Amino acid sequence: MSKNIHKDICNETLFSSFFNKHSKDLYNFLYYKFGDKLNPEDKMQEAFLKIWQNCHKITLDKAKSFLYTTANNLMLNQVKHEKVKLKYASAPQKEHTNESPQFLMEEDEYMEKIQNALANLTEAQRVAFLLNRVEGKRFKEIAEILNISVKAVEKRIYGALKKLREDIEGL
Amino acid sequence: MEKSDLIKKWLNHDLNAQEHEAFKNLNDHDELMKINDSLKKFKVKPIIDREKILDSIISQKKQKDKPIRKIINFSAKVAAILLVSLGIYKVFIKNDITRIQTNYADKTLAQLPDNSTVNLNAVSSISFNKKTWKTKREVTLKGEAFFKVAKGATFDVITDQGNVKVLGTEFNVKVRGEIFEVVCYEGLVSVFHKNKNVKLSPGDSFIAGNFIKNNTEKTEPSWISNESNFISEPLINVLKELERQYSIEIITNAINTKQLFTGKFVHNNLDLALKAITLPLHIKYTKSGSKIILNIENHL
Repeated sequence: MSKNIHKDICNETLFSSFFNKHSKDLYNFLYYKFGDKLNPEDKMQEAFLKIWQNCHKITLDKAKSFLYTTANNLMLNQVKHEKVKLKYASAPQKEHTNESPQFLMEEDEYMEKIQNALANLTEAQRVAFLLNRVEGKRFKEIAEILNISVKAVEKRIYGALKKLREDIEGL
Repeated sequence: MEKSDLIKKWLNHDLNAQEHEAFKNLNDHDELMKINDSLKKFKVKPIIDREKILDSIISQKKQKDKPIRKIINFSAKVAAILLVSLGIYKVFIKNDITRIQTNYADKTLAQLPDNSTVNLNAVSSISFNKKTWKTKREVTLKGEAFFKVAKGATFDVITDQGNVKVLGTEFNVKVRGEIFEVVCYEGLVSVFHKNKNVKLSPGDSFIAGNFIKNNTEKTEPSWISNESNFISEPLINVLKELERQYSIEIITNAINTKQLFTGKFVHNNLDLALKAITLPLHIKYTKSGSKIILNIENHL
Protein backbone atom coordinates (compact mmCIF):
# COMPACT_ATOMS: atom_id res chain seq x y z
CA MET A 1 0.00 0.00 0.00
CA SER A 2 1.38 3.38 -0.93
CA LYS A 3 1.44 5.94 1.80
CA ASN A 4 1.75 9.67 1.52
CA ILE A 5 4.75 10.86 3.42
CA HIS A 6 3.14 14.23 3.89
CA LYS A 7 -0.39 14.20 5.10
CA ASP A 8 -0.91 17.76 3.88
CA ILE A 9 0.97 20.33 1.85
CA CYS A 10 2.06 22.61 4.71
CA ASN A 11 5.66 21.69 4.08
CA GLU A 12 7.34 24.64 2.35
CA THR A 13 9.41 22.65 -0.11
CA LEU A 14 6.41 20.59 -1.01
CA PHE A 15 4.28 23.67 -1.53
CA SER A 16 6.98 25.33 -3.66
CA SER A 17 7.23 22.35 -5.94
CA PHE A 18 3.46 22.24 -6.16
CA PHE A 19 3.46 25.93 -7.09
CA ASN A 20 6.17 25.51 -9.71
CA LYS A 21 4.40 22.57 -11.24
CA HIS A 22 0.97 24.12 -11.55
CA SER A 23 1.21 27.91 -11.56
CA LYS A 24 1.90 28.28 -15.29
CA ASP A 25 -0.79 25.83 -16.34
CA LEU A 26 -3.32 27.42 -14.03
CA TYR A 27 -2.49 30.87 -15.32
CA ASN A 28 -2.85 29.74 -18.94
CA PHE A 29 -6.08 27.98 -18.13
CA LEU A 30 -7.55 31.07 -16.50
CA TYR A 31 -6.39 33.33 -19.29
CA TYR A 32 -7.77 31.25 -22.14
CA LYS A 33 -11.00 30.70 -20.27
CA PHE A 34 -11.73 34.16 -18.95
CA GLY A 35 -9.47 36.45 -20.95
CA ASP A 36 -7.31 39.09 -19.34
CA LYS A 37 -9.99 41.46 -18.12
CA LEU A 38 -10.32 39.68 -14.80
CA ASN A 39 -6.63 39.60 -14.15
CA PRO A 40 -5.72 35.92 -14.28
CA GLU A 41 -2.36 36.47 -12.64
CA ASP A 42 -3.97 37.86 -9.50
CA LYS A 43 -6.48 35.06 -9.37
CA MET A 44 -3.77 32.51 -9.79
CA GLN A 45 -1.89 34.04 -6.87
CA GLU A 46 -5.00 34.25 -4.74
CA ALA A 47 -5.88 30.63 -5.36
CA PHE A 48 -2.43 29.47 -4.30
CA LEU A 49 -2.64 31.69 -1.23
CA LYS A 50 -5.94 30.06 -0.25
CA ILE A 51 -4.32 26.64 -0.54
CA TRP A 52 -1.39 27.78 1.55
CA GLN A 53 -3.61 29.24 4.26
CA ASN A 54 -5.70 26.09 4.44
CA CYS A 55 -2.78 23.77 3.77
CA HIS A 56 -3.40 21.42 6.69
CA LYS A 57 -6.82 20.57 5.34
CA ILE A 58 -5.50 19.67 1.91
CA THR A 59 -3.61 16.57 0.93
CA LEU A 60 -1.24 16.62 -2.01
CA ASP A 61 -3.45 14.42 -4.17
CA LYS A 62 -6.44 16.70 -3.60
CA ALA A 63 -4.51 19.94 -3.97
CA LYS A 64 -4.67 20.24 -7.76
CA SER A 65 -8.41 19.97 -8.10
CA PHE A 66 -8.81 22.24 -5.07
CA LEU A 67 -6.57 24.79 -6.78
CA TYR A 68 -8.45 24.82 -10.07
CA THR A 69 -11.85 24.90 -8.41
CA THR A 70 -10.79 27.76 -6.17
CA ALA A 71 -9.36 29.80 -9.02
CA ASN A 72 -12.38 29.16 -11.18
CA ASN A 73 -14.72 30.25 -8.41
CA LEU A 74 -12.68 33.37 -7.73
CA MET A 75 -13.16 34.32 -11.36
CA LEU A 76 -16.84 33.54 -11.39
CA ASN A 77 -17.38 35.51 -8.20
CA GLN A 78 -16.04 38.65 -9.66
CA VAL A 79 -18.34 39.41 -12.55
CA LYS A 80 -21.00 37.93 -14.64
CA HIS A 81 -19.67 36.21 -17.62
CA GLU A 82 -19.03 38.29 -20.69
CA LYS A 83 -17.89 37.22 -24.05
CA VAL A 84 -14.18 36.73 -23.94
CA LYS A 85 -12.17 38.44 -26.59
CA LEU A 86 -8.54 37.52 -26.49
CA LYS A 87 -5.89 39.94 -27.56
CA TYR A 88 -3.36 39.12 -30.16
CA ALA A 89 0.10 40.50 -30.54
CA SER A 90 0.40 42.73 -33.58
CA ALA A 91 3.21 41.87 -35.92
CA PRO A 92 6.40 43.76 -35.17
CA GLN A 93 6.52 46.96 -37.10
CA LYS A 94 9.22 46.98 -39.69
CA GLU A 95 10.52 50.17 -41.12
CA HIS A 96 10.71 48.76 -44.56
CA THR A 97 8.37 46.23 -45.84
CA ASN A 98 8.09 44.43 -49.08
CA GLU A 99 4.52 43.58 -48.50
CA SER A 100 1.89 45.47 -50.29
CA PRO A 101 -0.59 47.60 -48.34
CA GLN A 102 -3.34 45.33 -49.54
CA PHE A 103 -1.66 42.31 -48.06
CA LEU A 104 -1.23 44.04 -44.73
CA MET A 105 -4.85 45.02 -44.64
CA GLU A 106 -5.98 41.52 -45.49
CA GLU A 107 -3.72 40.21 -42.78
CA ASP A 108 -5.35 42.51 -40.24
CA GLU A 109 -8.81 41.49 -41.35
CA TYR A 110 -7.87 37.87 -41.07
CA MET A 111 -6.66 38.29 -37.50
CA GLU A 112 -9.88 39.99 -36.58
CA LYS A 113 -11.84 37.14 -38.08
CA ILE A 114 -9.93 34.66 -35.97
CA GLN A 115 -10.41 36.78 -32.91
CA ASN A 116 -14.16 36.81 -33.40
CA ALA A 117 -14.25 33.14 -34.23
CA LEU A 118 -12.39 32.35 -31.01
CA ALA A 119 -14.86 34.42 -29.05
CA ASN A 120 -17.66 32.38 -30.58
CA LEU A 121 -16.28 29.08 -29.38
CA THR A 122 -17.66 27.65 -26.19
CA GLU A 123 -15.53 28.22 -23.15
CA ALA A 124 -14.67 24.53 -22.92
CA GLN A 125 -13.66 24.40 -26.57
CA ARG A 126 -11.58 27.54 -26.41
CA VAL A 127 -9.60 26.52 -23.34
CA ALA A 128 -8.73 23.11 -24.70
CA PHE A 129 -8.07 24.41 -28.20
CA LEU A 130 -5.73 27.21 -27.19
CA LEU A 131 -3.83 25.15 -24.65
CA ASN A 132 -3.24 22.78 -27.54
CA ARG A 133 -2.48 25.21 -30.37
CA VAL A 134 -0.80 28.08 -28.52
CA GLU A 135 0.84 26.35 -25.57
CA GLY A 136 1.59 23.26 -27.66
CA LYS A 137 0.21 20.84 -25.10
CA ARG A 138 -0.74 17.31 -26.06
CA PHE A 139 -4.24 15.94 -25.51
CA LYS A 140 -3.12 13.94 -22.52
CA GLU A 141 -1.64 16.93 -20.72
CA ILE A 142 -4.80 18.93 -21.30
CA ALA A 143 -6.93 16.08 -20.06
CA GLU A 144 -4.93 16.16 -16.82
CA ILE A 145 -5.33 19.89 -16.42
CA LEU A 146 -9.05 19.89 -17.10
CA ASN A 147 -9.66 16.61 -15.32
CA ILE A 148 -11.52 15.09 -18.26
CA SER A 149 -10.82 12.15 -20.55
CA VAL A 150 -8.40 12.29 -23.48
CA LYS A 151 -11.28 11.45 -25.80
CA ALA A 152 -13.23 14.44 -24.53
CA VAL A 153 -10.23 16.69 -25.11
CA GLU A 154 -9.88 15.42 -28.65
CA LYS A 155 -13.55 16.08 -29.27
CA ARG A 156 -13.36 19.60 -27.91
CA ILE A 157 -10.27 20.51 -29.87
CA TYR A 158 -11.36 18.98 -33.14
CA GLY A 159 -14.79 20.55 -32.73
CA ALA A 160 -13.18 23.90 -32.05
CA LEU A 161 -11.03 23.69 -35.18
CA LYS A 162 -14.01 22.78 -37.28
CA LYS A 163 -16.11 25.61 -35.95
CA LEU A 164 -13.25 28.05 -36.31
CA ARG A 165 -12.76 27.17 -39.97
CA GLU A 166 -16.45 27.48 -40.70
CA ASP A 167 -16.57 30.87 -39.00
CA ILE A 168 -13.56 32.21 -40.85
CA GLU A 169 -14.88 31.15 -44.22
CA GLY A 170 -18.37 32.37 -43.52
CA LEU A 171 -17.47 35.78 -42.24
CA MET B 1 -5.99 7.09 -43.17
CA GLU B 2 -9.03 9.30 -42.87
CA LYS B 3 -8.49 12.99 -43.20
CA SER B 4 -10.07 13.75 -39.86
CA ASP B 5 -7.82 11.20 -38.15
CA LEU B 6 -4.80 12.79 -39.76
CA ILE B 7 -5.85 16.21 -38.57
CA LYS B 8 -6.49 14.90 -35.07
CA LYS B 9 -3.02 13.36 -35.03
CA TRP B 10 -1.57 16.65 -36.15
CA LEU B 11 -3.46 18.44 -33.39
CA ASN B 12 -2.04 16.03 -30.85
CA HIS B 13 1.53 16.60 -32.16
CA ASP B 14 1.58 12.93 -32.97
CA LEU B 15 2.35 12.60 -36.70
CA ASN B 16 5.16 10.32 -37.78
CA ALA B 17 7.28 11.13 -40.83
CA GLN B 18 5.08 9.26 -43.26
CA GLU B 19 1.90 10.71 -41.87
CA HIS B 20 3.47 14.14 -41.93
CA GLU B 21 4.01 13.78 -45.65
CA ALA B 22 0.40 12.75 -46.10
CA PHE B 23 -0.72 15.69 -44.00
CA LYS B 24 1.29 18.10 -46.16
CA ASN B 25 -0.50 16.81 -49.22
CA LEU B 26 -3.96 17.52 -47.81
CA ASN B 27 -5.70 20.31 -49.67
CA ASP B 28 -6.53 21.78 -46.26
CA HIS B 29 -2.90 21.98 -45.30
CA ASP B 30 -2.27 25.60 -46.24
CA GLU B 31 -5.40 26.84 -44.56
CA LEU B 32 -4.64 24.93 -41.37
CA MET B 33 -1.12 26.30 -41.32
CA LYS B 34 -2.36 29.82 -41.77
CA ILE B 35 -4.81 29.46 -38.90
CA ASN B 36 -2.17 27.83 -36.79
CA ASP B 37 0.34 30.61 -37.34
CA SER B 38 -2.22 33.26 -36.58
CA LEU B 39 -3.27 31.52 -33.39
CA LYS B 40 0.27 31.73 -32.05
CA LYS B 41 -0.23 35.46 -31.78
CA PHE B 42 -2.85 34.90 -29.11
CA LYS B 43 -0.26 33.64 -26.71
CA VAL B 44 -0.66 34.97 -23.23
CA LYS B 45 2.08 37.15 -21.84
CA PRO B 46 4.18 34.94 -19.61
CA ILE B 47 4.29 35.60 -15.89
CA ILE B 48 7.50 37.44 -15.29
CA ASP B 49 8.33 36.77 -11.69
CA ARG B 50 6.88 33.56 -10.42
CA GLU B 51 9.51 33.28 -7.69
CA LYS B 52 8.39 36.56 -6.22
CA ILE B 53 4.77 35.46 -6.23
CA LEU B 54 5.68 32.24 -4.47
CA ASP B 55 7.68 34.09 -1.85
CA SER B 56 4.88 36.50 -1.18
CA ILE B 57 2.46 33.62 -0.70
CA ILE B 58 4.71 31.65 1.62
CA SER B 59 5.48 34.70 3.73
CA GLN B 60 1.76 35.14 4.41
CA LYS B 61 0.82 33.92 7.80
CA LYS B 62 -0.93 30.61 7.90
CA GLN B 63 -4.23 30.55 9.67
CA LYS B 64 -3.73 30.30 13.36
CA ASP B 65 -5.16 26.95 14.19
CA LYS B 66 -1.87 25.26 14.85
CA PRO B 67 -2.55 24.75 18.59
CA ILE B 68 -5.70 22.80 17.76
CA ARG B 69 -3.67 20.51 15.57
CA LYS B 70 -1.31 19.92 18.46
CA ILE B 71 -4.17 18.95 20.74
CA ILE B 72 -5.52 16.62 18.10
CA ASN B 73 -2.05 15.15 17.71
CA PHE B 74 -1.79 14.67 21.44
CA SER B 75 -5.14 12.98 21.77
CA ALA B 76 -4.33 10.87 18.72
CA LYS B 77 -1.18 9.70 20.49
CA VAL B 78 -3.08 8.84 23.64
CA ALA B 79 -5.64 6.94 21.60
CA ALA B 80 -2.88 5.09 19.77
CA ILE B 81 -1.21 4.06 23.03
CA LEU B 82 -4.52 2.84 24.42
CA LEU B 83 -5.18 0.86 21.26
CA VAL B 84 -1.76 -0.74 21.30
CA SER B 85 -2.05 -1.74 24.96
CA LEU B 86 -5.49 -3.14 24.30
CA GLY B 87 -4.02 -5.13 21.44
CA ILE B 88 -1.22 -6.48 23.66
CA TYR B 89 -3.77 -7.36 26.32
CA LYS B 90 -5.85 -9.22 23.76
CA VAL B 91 -2.91 -11.11 22.30
CA PHE B 92 -1.00 -12.08 25.44
CA ILE B 93 -3.52 -12.16 28.21
CA LYS B 94 -6.97 -12.89 26.87
CA ASN B 95 -5.67 -15.10 24.19
CA ASP B 96 -7.84 -16.84 21.64
CA ILE B 97 -11.19 -16.72 23.34
CA THR B 98 -13.81 -15.86 20.76
CA ARG B 99 -17.06 -14.52 22.08
CA ILE B 100 -20.25 -13.95 20.12
CA GLN B 101 -23.26 -12.34 21.70
CA THR B 102 -26.66 -11.01 20.77
CA ASN B 103 -28.64 -8.14 22.19
CA TYR B 104 -32.31 -7.59 22.81
CA ALA B 105 -34.45 -8.13 19.69
CA ASP B 106 -31.47 -9.60 17.92
CA LYS B 107 -30.55 -13.03 16.56
CA THR B 108 -27.43 -14.16 14.83
CA LEU B 109 -25.91 -17.11 13.04
CA ALA B 110 -22.36 -17.91 14.08
CA GLN B 111 -19.90 -20.28 12.51
CA LEU B 112 -17.49 -22.33 14.59
CA PRO B 113 -13.99 -23.22 13.35
CA ASP B 114 -15.09 -26.67 12.13
CA ASN B 115 -18.08 -25.35 10.16
CA SER B 116 -20.54 -26.26 12.87
CA THR B 117 -23.14 -23.52 13.05
CA VAL B 118 -24.83 -21.92 16.00
CA ASN B 119 -28.04 -19.91 15.83
CA LEU B 120 -28.10 -17.51 18.75
CA ASN B 121 -31.46 -16.31 20.07
CA ALA B 122 -31.86 -12.85 21.60
CA VAL B 123 -29.76 -11.92 24.67
CA SER B 124 -27.47 -14.91 24.43
CA SER B 125 -23.76 -15.46 24.11
CA ILE B 126 -21.33 -18.21 23.26
CA SER B 127 -17.59 -18.30 23.72
CA PHE B 128 -15.01 -20.80 22.62
CA ASN B 129 -11.26 -21.17 22.38
CA LYS B 130 -10.02 -21.13 18.81
CA LYS B 131 -6.54 -22.45 19.62
CA THR B 132 -7.60 -25.63 21.37
CA TRP B 133 -10.62 -26.19 19.13
CA LYS B 134 -8.99 -29.01 17.20
CA THR B 135 -8.46 -31.14 20.26
CA LYS B 136 -11.37 -29.99 22.37
CA ARG B 137 -14.66 -28.84 20.89
CA GLU B 138 -16.15 -26.91 23.77
CA VAL B 139 -18.59 -24.01 23.77
CA THR B 140 -19.76 -22.05 26.77
CA LEU B 141 -23.35 -20.92 26.41
CA LYS B 142 -25.48 -18.34 28.14
CA GLY B 143 -29.06 -17.97 26.94
CA GLU B 144 -30.53 -19.98 24.11
CA ALA B 145 -28.95 -21.42 21.00
CA PHE B 146 -29.61 -24.00 18.30
CA PHE B 147 -26.57 -26.06 17.37
CA LYS B 148 -25.87 -27.88 14.14
CA VAL B 149 -22.69 -29.76 14.90
CA ALA B 150 -20.45 -31.09 12.17
CA LYS B 151 -19.41 -34.72 12.54
CA GLY B 152 -16.24 -35.30 14.49
CA ALA B 153 -14.98 -35.75 18.01
CA THR B 154 -17.23 -35.03 20.98
CA PHE B 155 -18.72 -31.59 21.21
CA ASP B 156 -19.48 -30.08 24.60
CA VAL B 157 -21.83 -27.27 25.52
CA ILE B 158 -21.07 -25.92 28.98
CA THR B 159 -23.77 -23.93 30.77
CA ASP B 160 -24.40 -22.77 34.31
CA GLN B 161 -27.18 -25.32 34.68
CA GLY B 162 -25.68 -28.40 33.12
CA ASN B 163 -23.63 -29.75 30.27
CA VAL B 164 -24.51 -31.30 26.94
CA LYS B 165 -22.28 -33.75 25.13
CA VAL B 166 -22.82 -34.76 21.51
CA LEU B 167 -21.26 -36.31 18.44
CA GLY B 168 -22.42 -34.44 15.35
CA THR B 169 -26.08 -33.60 15.61
CA GLU B 170 -28.69 -30.87 15.84
CA PHE B 171 -30.09 -29.67 19.12
CA ASN B 172 -31.38 -26.64 20.98
CA VAL B 173 -30.18 -25.56 24.41
CA LYS B 174 -31.99 -22.98 26.50
CA VAL B 175 -30.56 -21.58 29.73
CA ARG B 176 -32.58 -18.75 31.20
CA GLY B 177 -32.16 -18.27 34.94
CA GLU B 178 -33.32 -21.52 36.49
CA ILE B 179 -34.65 -22.87 33.23
CA PHE B 180 -32.58 -25.50 31.51
CA GLU B 181 -34.03 -27.08 28.40
CA VAL B 182 -32.46 -29.28 25.79
CA VAL B 183 -34.28 -30.50 22.71
CA CYS B 184 -32.69 -32.99 20.35
CA TYR B 185 -33.58 -32.76 16.65
CA GLU B 186 -31.09 -35.20 15.13
CA GLY B 187 -28.48 -37.70 16.32
CA LEU B 188 -27.86 -38.46 19.95
CA VAL B 189 -27.44 -35.98 22.79
CA SER B 190 -26.14 -36.62 26.30
CA VAL B 191 -27.37 -34.22 28.98
CA PHE B 192 -25.67 -33.87 32.36
CA HIS B 193 -27.83 -32.05 34.85
CA LYS B 194 -27.55 -32.20 38.64
CA ASN B 195 -25.84 -35.62 38.74
CA LYS B 196 -28.34 -36.95 36.22
CA ASN B 197 -27.24 -38.23 32.84
CA VAL B 198 -29.98 -38.50 30.25
CA LYS B 199 -29.65 -39.58 26.62
CA LEU B 200 -31.94 -37.88 24.13
CA SER B 201 -32.89 -39.32 20.74
CA PRO B 202 -34.38 -37.18 17.96
CA GLY B 203 -37.66 -35.63 19.11
CA ASP B 204 -36.84 -36.07 22.80
CA SER B 205 -36.62 -33.15 25.19
CA PHE B 206 -35.11 -32.53 28.57
CA ILE B 207 -37.18 -29.88 30.34
CA ALA B 208 -37.00 -28.77 33.96
CA GLY B 209 -35.00 -31.78 35.05
CA ASN B 210 -37.30 -34.29 33.38
CA PHE B 211 -36.89 -36.46 30.36
CA ILE B 212 -39.81 -36.13 27.93
CA LYS B 213 -40.08 -38.65 25.13
CA ASN B 214 -40.88 -37.63 21.58
CA ASN B 215 -42.71 -34.38 22.25
CA THR B 216 -41.61 -32.63 19.09
CA GLU B 217 -41.77 -33.53 15.43
CA LYS B 218 -40.08 -30.40 14.20
CA THR B 219 -36.62 -30.31 12.68
CA GLU B 220 -35.57 -27.07 14.33
CA PRO B 221 -36.79 -24.88 17.20
CA SER B 222 -39.60 -22.48 16.35
CA TRP B 223 -37.61 -19.38 17.25
CA ILE B 224 -35.39 -19.99 14.22
CA SER B 225 -38.45 -19.15 12.10
CA ASN B 226 -39.29 -16.15 14.29
CA GLU B 227 -41.87 -17.67 16.60
CA SER B 228 -41.76 -18.61 20.26
CA ASN B 229 -43.74 -21.70 21.32
CA PHE B 230 -44.78 -22.52 24.87
CA ILE B 231 -46.45 -25.54 26.41
CA SER B 232 -47.80 -25.06 29.93
CA GLU B 233 -45.16 -22.44 30.65
CA PRO B 234 -45.48 -20.01 33.59
CA LEU B 235 -46.52 -16.61 32.22
CA ILE B 236 -43.49 -14.90 33.72
CA ASN B 237 -41.17 -16.90 31.45
CA VAL B 238 -43.28 -16.08 28.41
CA LEU B 239 -43.16 -12.36 29.20
CA LYS B 240 -39.40 -12.50 29.72
CA GLU B 241 -38.98 -14.06 26.30
CA LEU B 242 -41.21 -11.36 24.84
CA GLU B 243 -39.00 -8.69 26.43
CA ARG B 244 -35.93 -10.29 24.89
CA GLN B 245 -37.43 -10.54 21.41
CA TYR B 246 -38.74 -6.97 21.20
CA SER B 247 -36.35 -5.06 23.48
CA ILE B 248 -39.21 -3.75 25.62
CA GLU B 249 -40.01 -3.62 29.31
CA ILE B 250 -43.18 -5.23 30.62
CA ILE B 251 -44.81 -4.05 33.80
CA THR B 252 -47.53 -6.25 35.31
CA ASN B 253 -50.22 -4.96 37.64
CA ALA B 254 -51.93 -7.47 39.89
CA ILE B 255 -51.50 -10.28 37.44
CA ASN B 256 -50.76 -13.86 38.42
CA THR B 257 -47.54 -14.43 36.51
CA LYS B 258 -47.38 -18.03 37.63
CA GLN B 259 -50.42 -19.09 35.64
CA LEU B 260 -49.58 -21.42 32.81
CA PHE B 261 -49.61 -20.35 29.19
CA THR B 262 -49.78 -22.57 26.13
CA GLY B 263 -49.43 -20.94 22.76
CA LYS B 264 -46.99 -18.98 20.66
CA PHE B 265 -46.11 -15.45 19.61
CA VAL B 266 -44.35 -14.04 16.55
CA HIS B 267 -41.15 -12.01 16.62
CA ASN B 268 -41.91 -9.48 13.92
CA ASN B 269 -45.19 -7.90 15.02
CA LEU B 270 -45.43 -6.64 18.59
CA ASP B 271 -49.18 -6.02 18.58
CA LEU B 272 -49.92 -9.45 17.23
CA ALA B 273 -47.58 -11.01 19.79
CA LEU B 274 -49.15 -9.08 22.67
CA LYS B 275 -52.64 -10.08 21.58
CA ALA B 276 -51.63 -13.71 21.30
CA ILE B 277 -50.54 -13.70 24.92
CA THR B 278 -53.05 -11.36 26.53
CA LEU B 279 -56.35 -12.29 24.86
CA PRO B 280 -56.61 -15.88 26.12
CA LEU B 281 -55.66 -14.76 29.64
CA HIS B 282 -58.11 -11.79 29.72
CA ILE B 283 -55.38 -9.25 30.15
CA LYS B 284 -55.45 -5.69 28.85
CA TYR B 285 -52.27 -4.04 27.58
CA THR B 286 -51.35 -0.40 27.12
CA LYS B 287 -48.19 0.87 25.44
CA SER B 288 -46.16 3.84 26.62
CA GLY B 289 -42.89 4.26 24.78
CA SER B 290 -40.84 1.09 25.11
CA LYS B 291 -42.85 0.04 28.17
CA ILE B 292 -45.88 -2.20 28.05
CA ILE B 293 -48.25 -2.16 31.00
CA LEU B 294 -50.47 -5.19 31.63
CA ASN B 295 -53.69 -4.94 33.64
CA ILE B 296 -56.52 -7.32 34.40
CA GLU B 297 -59.37 -6.74 32.02
CA ASN B 298 -62.39 -5.19 33.72
CA HIS B 299 -65.63 -6.83 32.90
CA LEU B 300 -68.30 -4.17 32.96
